[in-house]
Amino acid sequence: MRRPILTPVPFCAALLIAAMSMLWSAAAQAQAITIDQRRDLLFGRVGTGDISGTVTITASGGKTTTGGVIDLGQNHRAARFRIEGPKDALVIVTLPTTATVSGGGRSATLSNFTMDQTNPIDLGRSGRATIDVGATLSLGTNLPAATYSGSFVIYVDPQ
Amino acid sequence: MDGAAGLQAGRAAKAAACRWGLCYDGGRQAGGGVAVVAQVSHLVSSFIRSALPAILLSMLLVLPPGTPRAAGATGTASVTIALPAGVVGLQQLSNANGFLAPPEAAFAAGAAPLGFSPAAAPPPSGGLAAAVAISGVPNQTFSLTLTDTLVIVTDAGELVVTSFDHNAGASPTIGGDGAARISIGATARPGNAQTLQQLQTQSGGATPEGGPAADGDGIVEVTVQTEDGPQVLRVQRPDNFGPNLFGEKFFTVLVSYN
Repeated sequence: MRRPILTPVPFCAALLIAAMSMLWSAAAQAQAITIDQRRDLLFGRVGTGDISGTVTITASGGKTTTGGVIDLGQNHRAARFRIEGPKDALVIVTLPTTATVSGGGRSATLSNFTMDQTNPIDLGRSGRATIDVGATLSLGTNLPAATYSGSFVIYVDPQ
Repeated sequence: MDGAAGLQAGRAAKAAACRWGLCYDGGRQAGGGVAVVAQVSHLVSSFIRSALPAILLSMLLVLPPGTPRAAGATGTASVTIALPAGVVGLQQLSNANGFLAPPEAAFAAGAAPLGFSPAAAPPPSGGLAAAVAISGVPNQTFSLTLTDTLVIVTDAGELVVTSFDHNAGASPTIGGDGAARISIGATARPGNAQTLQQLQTQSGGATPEGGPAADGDGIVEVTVQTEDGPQVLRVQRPDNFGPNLFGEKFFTVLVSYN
């Protein structure tokens, strides 16, 4: 009586399935979406006084101030991020609501984040997109002279 | 199908299965149809039993990556808060003889040394350079913007002050202590009635539609409601873009960081 457990046909079929699964797995790996920061968000140099105010960097890189904040020049620019993923994929970018920068024993609040593109963002045939991000920094009165820095997180999801 | 035919078909199926490596010799059923069912059932179970481990392994390999996933990135923001520049006048600009006296010649700050209280030793004509103190970011370079022209008018006449200059050099810099002092001079020359008239003529312009009547010399007619009824007054319209005509005695020092 013959009772073979592993015989050639099912074994080859299993190998075929495994090979296809590996290919599918590799393809799935290639579809992962990534986002990386390419440039920092720089507000340049400002002065503060007895009146609070704001300094805003637009997504296009413009700089404006309000209230008692004085623009003292120096380099400023919007942050830049690179998104990569499957070609022709549509992704949703979620900007933070607030963030904090600190320095000199004081802190200031970042808000009203903006970007130069509108959701959903088409990654196109290259599977890649670049977004520029700006924000508004609210400054209190008589902040000590120092460099204030902080971080914020941006998320990207498939639509 | 009779028994012989069914048995024959069962044997044929078994032979075919064995050619493909799937043999089963346990089905000794009397009926051929039952044997065929048993053979097919065994084929399926044998395949699943052999391939199941590979299928499960494949699922483990495939599941983690899945479909496109969300991702996040941390960005960095920074701002430099600096001390704004401050400007304080220390010494006024003067020709020492009174503005309306014959100014003789120009007085300039270029030759005046830095200092204040007094800001500089009087030049031969008796004039003094103005002095201002600037505070701000240590070692910061800055730009100076000075008034272009100043016209001082009193009942006795007029004096035109031009060519404002400073001694801070081509690249003014705040000192390491956050302070700088500079001297400012200018050139004065006497004006005359003709100059004043010319400036008044330049201040004229077209009347806005619906606005008060005006003539070509910058005189506007304004209707004022009084107890005796509307009265028309003729007044000189100020010129926001021309030189200061009436008693202006201040000049501006604008400091901006480079």
